[in-house]
Amino acid sequence: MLFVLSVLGLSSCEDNETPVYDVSRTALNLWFGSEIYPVDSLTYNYSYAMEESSVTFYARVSGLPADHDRTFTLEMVDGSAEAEGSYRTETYTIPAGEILAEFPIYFNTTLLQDPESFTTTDGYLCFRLAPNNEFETGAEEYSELIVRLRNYLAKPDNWDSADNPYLSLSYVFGAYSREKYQFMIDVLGIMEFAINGNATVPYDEENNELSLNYANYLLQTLQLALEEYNATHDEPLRDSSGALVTF
Amino acid sequence: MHKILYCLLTAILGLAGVSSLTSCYDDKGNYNYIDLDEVVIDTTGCGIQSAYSVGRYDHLTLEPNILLNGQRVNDDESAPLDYMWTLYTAAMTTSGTLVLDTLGFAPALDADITTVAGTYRLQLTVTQRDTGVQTYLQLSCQVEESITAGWMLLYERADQPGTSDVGLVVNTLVKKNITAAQEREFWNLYSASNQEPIAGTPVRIFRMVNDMGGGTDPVTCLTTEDLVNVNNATFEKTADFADFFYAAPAVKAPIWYGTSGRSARRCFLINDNAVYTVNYMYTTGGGNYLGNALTADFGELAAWGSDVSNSCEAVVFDQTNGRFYHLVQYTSQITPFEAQSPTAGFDVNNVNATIQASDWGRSDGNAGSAYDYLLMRNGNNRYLAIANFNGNAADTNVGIGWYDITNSPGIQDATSITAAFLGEYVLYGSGNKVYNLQYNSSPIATEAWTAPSAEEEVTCVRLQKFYYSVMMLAGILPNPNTVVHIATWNESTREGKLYQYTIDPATGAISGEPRIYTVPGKVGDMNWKYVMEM
Repeated sequence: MLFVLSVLGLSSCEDNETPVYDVSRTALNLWFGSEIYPVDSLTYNYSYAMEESSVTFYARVSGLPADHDRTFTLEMVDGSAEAEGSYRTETYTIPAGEILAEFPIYFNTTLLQDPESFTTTDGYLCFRLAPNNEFETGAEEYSELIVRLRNYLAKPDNWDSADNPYLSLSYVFGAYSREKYQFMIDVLGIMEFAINGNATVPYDEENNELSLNYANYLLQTLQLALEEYNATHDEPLRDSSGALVTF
Repeated sequence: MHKILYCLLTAILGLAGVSSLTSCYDDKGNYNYIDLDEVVIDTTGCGIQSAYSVGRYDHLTLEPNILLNGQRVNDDESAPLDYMWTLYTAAMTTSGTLVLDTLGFAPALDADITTVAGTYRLQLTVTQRDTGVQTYLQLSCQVEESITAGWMLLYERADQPGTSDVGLVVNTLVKKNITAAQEREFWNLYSASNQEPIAGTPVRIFRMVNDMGGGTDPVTCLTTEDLVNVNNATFEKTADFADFFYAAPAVKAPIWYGTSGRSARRCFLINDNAVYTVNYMYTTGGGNYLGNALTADFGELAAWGSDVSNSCEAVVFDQTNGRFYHLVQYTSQITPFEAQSPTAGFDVNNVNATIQASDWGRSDGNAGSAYDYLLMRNGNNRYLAIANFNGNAADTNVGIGWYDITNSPGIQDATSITAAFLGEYVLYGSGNKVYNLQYNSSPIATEAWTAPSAEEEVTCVRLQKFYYSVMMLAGILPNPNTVVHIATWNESTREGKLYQYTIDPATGAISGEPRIYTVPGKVGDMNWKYVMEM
């Protein structure tokens, strides 16, 4: 009985080949969203910026960190022709010792070939990693950066009137124009907000509501920004009718 | 049978063994018994209550009998006992400030209760020096707030140079509806409420009218290093410098904070050579804060602003280039004034002098408006400039008067001026004197007052008036324009004084015997603390 069991035990021990990671392969995964929550695509609205603005993407190395800086570029592989010239990418660098970084893709409203582009129909751009010596393309679901393009701005419903205790935006910011509203979004970084006469804090970020005093502070901010804009451009800011934008 | 015997024998042997062990145990301990002295804190017949309710800054005296081994030792300095009276917050809390004030080190308590209103324990701790054994007496103590209207002083602490604190004098001259028995004086109010004085030397103290009906207006204190708001009743700090702003600037360097209109309900700040304004016209929720930094093509701004312009968000002075700037209401641009008429008293766009001292005072007789009075200097020359900043943006006669007062006695070193509202004179302090300059009659002032000591220097002189004209017109400010407050500082004794006199509002003649207060510091500014009392 003992002899039988020992024979069986010896015969069951064999060496298997253990697969190891291929350290020679380095890929780069790209995505929009947050560091831990990727999204399929991002929307860029040219109307939200007077001139140049950007979207941010993440790049993570699938592999080991390196002892030197590694660069890569993007190539636009598919997208709307009307967007040509209105965007730019850069040569991006993953610093030595790092495996994760954020990078911008820039869009410039003033460089749209047709200012009316994407005002009624969305466009898109698809970027992929350009071939290079440092990185291979990452996993399939992290291989493309898709940007949906828009260029329209709706007049807020509360611009001309609002129900008590709210005040109309015109009460503080004056008559509406698309260009004025676009300038406000660009300078203040907020949109579709309300002015609440019963506010308890200057800016209720959760509900996107301003106190009247804070709205007047933002008005002053816009006045100063408009002065600077007009002083640094060949032409002062005007709306589509040709009238000067004022606050 | 054998078994039973066996168990019994075992038990017997066991018991014998235990008892023998214990009986052989020697007590190796080394104890030294000391008979403790007996300390008793006896309140019998001392008139001491178990609980007290006092007004803040009331004086409390208590003396229980301290018995050491049955003998009263209150007056025996050889008794080996230490005494300490403390006042500490009664309720345990995880928020707010816990107070622990040490009130004295004698058997008797004889101290002012200066802590803010609240519920406290008053405790006497008697410690036996030889053994450290302590005996306690604990009493409840409710402190009620008692600070209302009065005359405020902002002074540099004599005991902590480079810091400022607040005093408040309450008497029948400065507060209505009280009797002489109710007169009080409070000193070091700020530190008593906030555990430390304000950094920096005094610049301004002011309770501005922005929420008259709500009663929430704080008292603002500006020093050379800080700007704070305090609760007007408790003097507890309610706002630090950064709290004044929607977005605080990176550099903290305030030099002026004031109002910008007797009825405009605006305040403005000069910080790091930029102007910030706050509008109190809208009292909707969400608070009122200083806005954006406003600058223009000006040089260095003076530590001055007009408190009484009716039509501007702010009026400031560019001392580098000698011109005034203003911020028209509801605009964001600080601009010079319009080109002035050659017949104006002086050109506010071309002032060849800097500001030495300033005040506001009489206008053209209109009780609802006031002019600015500025003592200007250019080298050894001195001038009194009177300006009217109440006009609209197109006003070409802002400068009302320009008087060469170079030869007026003491004007070179004048430290402070105050301008009459019902007369045509200014008072200024220089050395140990106060002078009266009837500027429309003569460029040479007369001596109006001399300090009792040649070593006293006049540091601040103020007429009892208030920028918000309603307060005077409605009789809320007591004795308007008929009291003058003179503060002095004696460097050798390191003691300040406040003298309060009756003054003729039309001529500036000082009369009668003064009310005199000793100030624990060098006064930099004084102002009436307004309270809505009819």
